[in-house]
Amino acid sequence: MTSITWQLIRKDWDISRLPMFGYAALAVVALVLVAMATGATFYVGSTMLITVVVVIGIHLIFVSVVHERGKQTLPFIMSLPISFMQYTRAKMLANLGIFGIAWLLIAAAVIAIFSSTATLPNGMLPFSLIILGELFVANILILGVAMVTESEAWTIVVMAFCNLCISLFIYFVGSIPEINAHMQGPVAVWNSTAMMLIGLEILAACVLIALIFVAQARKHDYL
Amino acid sequence: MSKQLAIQLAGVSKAYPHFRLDSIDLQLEQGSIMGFIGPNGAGKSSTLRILMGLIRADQGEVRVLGHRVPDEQVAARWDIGFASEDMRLYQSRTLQWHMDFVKSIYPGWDDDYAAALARRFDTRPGQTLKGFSHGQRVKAGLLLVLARRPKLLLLDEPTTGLDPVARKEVLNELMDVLQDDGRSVLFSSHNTKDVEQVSDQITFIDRGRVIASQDKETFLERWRRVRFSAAENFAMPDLPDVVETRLNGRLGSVITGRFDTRITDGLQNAGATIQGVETMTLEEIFVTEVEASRAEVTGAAA
Repeated sequence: MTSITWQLIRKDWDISRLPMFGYAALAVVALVLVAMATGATFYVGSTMLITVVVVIGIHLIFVSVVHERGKQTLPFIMSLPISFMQYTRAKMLANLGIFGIAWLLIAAAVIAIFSSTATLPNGMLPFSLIILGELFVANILILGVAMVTESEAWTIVVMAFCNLCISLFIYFVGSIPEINAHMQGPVAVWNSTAMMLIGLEILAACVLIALIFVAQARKHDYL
Repeated sequence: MSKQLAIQLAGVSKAYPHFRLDSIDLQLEQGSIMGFIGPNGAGKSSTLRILMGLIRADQGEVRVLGHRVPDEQVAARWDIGFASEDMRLYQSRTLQWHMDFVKSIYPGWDDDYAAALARRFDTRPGQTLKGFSHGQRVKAGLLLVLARRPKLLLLDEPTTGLDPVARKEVLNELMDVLQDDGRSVLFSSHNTKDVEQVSDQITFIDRGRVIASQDKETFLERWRRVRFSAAENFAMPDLPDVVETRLNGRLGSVITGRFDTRITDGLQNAGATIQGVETMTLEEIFVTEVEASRAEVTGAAA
């Protein structure tokens, strides 16, 4: 990674830092509610946690990609000695890096809460991580649309679509017998269905990232 | 020995759905300031963006500071300071934050010069850009460009929307920058007065075509408006290099871009009395060039 790519990542982090701390505080509240493990708090906490993960990703995408074009700070950045692919790399690393760290911390906290709270069934863990994985893939998709189409309108459309898909995906995964059968059990069962779903999510993430770079490399006009 | 070229465009074209930049040829020697004048939508910004490698020409060759663009655009950009009218800074950040950011990229960043510019431009480094007026934002952008001491400045309409005081400050600073003989500037504007003050070369562009490019003195030297009076039935003689002719009753005028005594002699021989030979402002020359070019294109199309 070149120094200038690193400076661009630092710049994006600097601009997003304060709201990220705010979202981190909300995530802690959501995790506490999940850990309380009563019916109502678990539902409110998990919904809040999903919302926080989604909002972290969208906030980063809008501030670092969509607004950079809409608020015309892109000419300032592109006047610096960077190629468009360096710019693309910096944006991908900043977004996926910051989102990825937040996502990993939340996933680790979810694992820790399920493992240490007696009243929460460990059987929920595969299901929870598959749902978190979907949020990561959806975030890459929204980021890709924002970067490739350079359109705020398309980004909002895809964002709305992805958010709509979350509840459908939860319903879909929860309806799979191989997952559903173990959800209330005391042990996390990483059977082939769970592993396949996680594998598909990783594959989808890799394919999306590759497609974003291919699409960006084909562009000739950057402003 | 001829000077090295800071900018060289040869046969550069770029087609958009409703506009075409058409075979642009342009050369700027190192150490020169070129005013790039054209009406809105003439192709000034597109040309500057091609020079920066921000858009790719469909045809032609582009060299900036010896680097082929877009292939070597990154190497070229280390020595280019680019500021455009549509360029914005981060509203929620201070000018100092921007200065630190640019400094972290350019090793040649001059802290003392940046501080001096901030004072001269009356911009407070600790203030967020949100609180800056338009003029202060433009000056902040120029500060960020100038303090990295680039060899080439590409300025796209830098004085647009500035009040007279801010405009004077910006133009004065540009003149100071050019004390350094090695530094070159391409300065686009539709305001001929600004360009006239600082430039030593002038290029006119209209509807995607370069319609004239010369040094400023030659422009001002060659262009003349000859006013004359004549009889009612005066027949206009065939005069060389006349761009515009007006005849209103007994009074008339001709405008030429290559004035010499053949014009006045021709008019007098035809029976006219010369009332005066006037110099023209750059704005008048520009408007006449644009009108003549458009008439030529329309005539050719017909």
